[in-house]
Amino acid sequence: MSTTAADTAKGWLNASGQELAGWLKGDAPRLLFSLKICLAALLAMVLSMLLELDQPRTAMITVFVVMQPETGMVLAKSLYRIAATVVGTLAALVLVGAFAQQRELFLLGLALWIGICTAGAAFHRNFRSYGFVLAGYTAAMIGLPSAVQPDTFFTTAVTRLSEICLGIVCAGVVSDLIFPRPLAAAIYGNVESRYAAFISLVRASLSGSATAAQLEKMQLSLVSKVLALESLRSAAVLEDPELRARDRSLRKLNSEFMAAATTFYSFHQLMKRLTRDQTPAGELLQDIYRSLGGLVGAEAPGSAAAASRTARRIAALRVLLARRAREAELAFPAGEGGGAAPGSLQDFRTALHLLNRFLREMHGYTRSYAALGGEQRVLDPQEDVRFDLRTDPVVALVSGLRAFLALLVASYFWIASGWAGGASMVMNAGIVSALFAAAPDPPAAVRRMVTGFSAGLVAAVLFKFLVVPSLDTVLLLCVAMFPVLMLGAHLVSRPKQAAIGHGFLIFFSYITSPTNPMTFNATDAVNEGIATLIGIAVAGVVFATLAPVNGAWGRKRVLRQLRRQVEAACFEPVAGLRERFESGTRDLLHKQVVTAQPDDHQQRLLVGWFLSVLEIGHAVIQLRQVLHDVAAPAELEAAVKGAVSALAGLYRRPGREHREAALQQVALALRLATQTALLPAADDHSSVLYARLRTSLHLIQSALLDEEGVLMATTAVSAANPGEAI
Amino acid sequence: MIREIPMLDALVPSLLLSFLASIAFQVVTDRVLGRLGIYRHVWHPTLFRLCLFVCTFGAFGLALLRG
Repeated sequence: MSTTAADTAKGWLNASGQELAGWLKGDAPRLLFSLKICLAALLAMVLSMLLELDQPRTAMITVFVVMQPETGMVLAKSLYRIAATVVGTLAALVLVGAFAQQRELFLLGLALWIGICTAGAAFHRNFRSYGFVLAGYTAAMIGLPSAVQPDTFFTTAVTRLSEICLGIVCAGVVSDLIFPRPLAAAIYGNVESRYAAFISLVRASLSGSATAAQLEKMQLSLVSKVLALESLRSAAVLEDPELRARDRSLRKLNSEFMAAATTFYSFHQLMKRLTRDQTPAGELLQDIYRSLGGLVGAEAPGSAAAASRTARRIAALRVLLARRAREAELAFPAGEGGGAAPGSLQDFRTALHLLNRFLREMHGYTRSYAALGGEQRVLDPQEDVRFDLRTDPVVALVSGLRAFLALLVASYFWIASGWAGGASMVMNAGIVSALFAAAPDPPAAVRRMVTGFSAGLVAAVLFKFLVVPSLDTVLLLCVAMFPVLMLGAHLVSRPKQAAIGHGFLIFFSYITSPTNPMTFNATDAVNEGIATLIGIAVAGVVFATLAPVNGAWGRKRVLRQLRRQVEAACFEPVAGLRERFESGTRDLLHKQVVTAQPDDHQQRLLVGWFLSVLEIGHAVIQLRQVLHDVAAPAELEAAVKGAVSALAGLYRRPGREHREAALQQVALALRLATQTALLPAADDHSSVLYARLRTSLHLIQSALLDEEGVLMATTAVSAANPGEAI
Repeated sequence: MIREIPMLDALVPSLLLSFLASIAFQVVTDRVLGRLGIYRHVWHPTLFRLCLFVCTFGAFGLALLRG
């Protein structure tokens, strides 16, 4: 009896322990985040009152806008917010100074400025994009009230700047001091989980157990991890002095990873082509692969020591691979030399070359990985690696134009109606059309914001006119505000309702407008509320009706931009080209997938093109690198250059004729390269380079001939229906 | 104590200038300490950094008060 009671108690304890652990992992951080938001906002409010600033609400709103779970993110966002506020203020100064008496011209200038800033925001990524948005609407927020009364401009600008800085300092201090959540953890987590994801991609592709769609999904998640690391890294630099010291290592790690992933993809494609129809080369390769079995550990090495061990194992594998390759080449069935036929000796050599390169890159990557986790200080890598982000200028311009039009419509309405709340309406139309231009689904985002705003409006009116009159100290005001703010902050901490929560908090503090002493003006509050909602509605309608960037047109643009990456690989200067190409291509794909959420078929088409562009572009860059390093005979150089520009032509306008022209040029270059390599004059170094040249040429040839590739599908379609080339 | 310093004929509060100077000082110290790996041996690095800043700013302020 007693034992069963004890067992029950124990079971109950265990269960509640698990429950507690789950709560600590899931809900507790969120609750903590909400508490931090409220604390920072109330701190900002009280301090602004102590410092006798006009509008404590601006400081509070700043807190709501910059607060993020990770500290480094808060600091990064704050930095851009300060800079953008200064720029926006200057723009407002110019506009007010130039057109103080001419409301029409002032509004036109403001619309232009917001349009330019929105285009800039669509052109950049992450916080830089946010900075542009802010520079745009700060000009509206400061300029519009001053347009009505120009003599108050300087005071408005200075107080607003002080309030924003105060809000930023409060947000930064609270988020960094109270249970900080360092970005470093997120970065190491990203690097670690990516290592594991990549290894599982390698295993899945080589064992052939995953379908093509699954592999594409894995590729996609790797791409988003690469970009996530880049954005985390750019923010972490501000947070952690230690990470700043390792910044270059991190960038190198990211670039090495991209190189290894692309090489592996090329290798895998070649393997697929060779094993599809039982060629001798394919069989030999599979043999070799099996003997390499258990290539690298199944999961990410947990410690620096484990990573160094893995690196050593990969180095040993390379030696083994070289020996096996020599043996296999001798055993290669005779009479199958040369030629473009699949399964030839050249195919075999190319595949081995790629596998070797992959192992080499993997080795470098694992070593950087080990160095990153190690306690001892490592010397920074000497070379600096740049991460390139590519954006379509046309899409950015269209977003800018849209914001410009939204502002013109709102301004026209203000002038025609002569409404007292018109300035507020124009201001909000500007804010919303700048803020959501780059959002995944602008109309939906606007809807969520309106929901939050309406709830905030109702709560604020009730709070301000029923609760606040009975409070007589600031402490009581804080106590009374706390539960309401907590409600909004709770929504903010859940990713799905974050937009509603933000809208609620911002509008609640905007309408409540706590000042010391409190002022009560019901007409103003309601007028402001309605003006804001109408302003948002105008922006929302313009978003929904004018040239939705995320539709079919946007997709087409992205495909074209992707293919243009090959042209860039063909013609841009070679120095640092590989890194720029790899990162730029990934950025393009990622942006489209994140913002447009295309359906399955479109996504597969996109990923297909992405992979094809990566494969060809990478090979082209290798080609050009070799030409850059070795003094090739003029004839060969001309042939390779011809092949490169034929490829550029093919990717500019995919079509059967272009594909055949490219194939011819590549075959010519390949033949010349083989002849040059046989010349006795070639020394050791240049013969290695010529082998690399041949590998790349051969890889391009086999990619062009691939019957299941996206290129073949498109060129076949375009031959039947030339107008429909995608 | 000098309350305000004329800069290009505009009177700037001397505390603001010393605040900016402490920020500049903090940025430099922060880099050096980060490079040396000092923060790894500190319990709450952020608190440490904030305290360092408060001390710097306080020292500058006191120097102004004396001067």
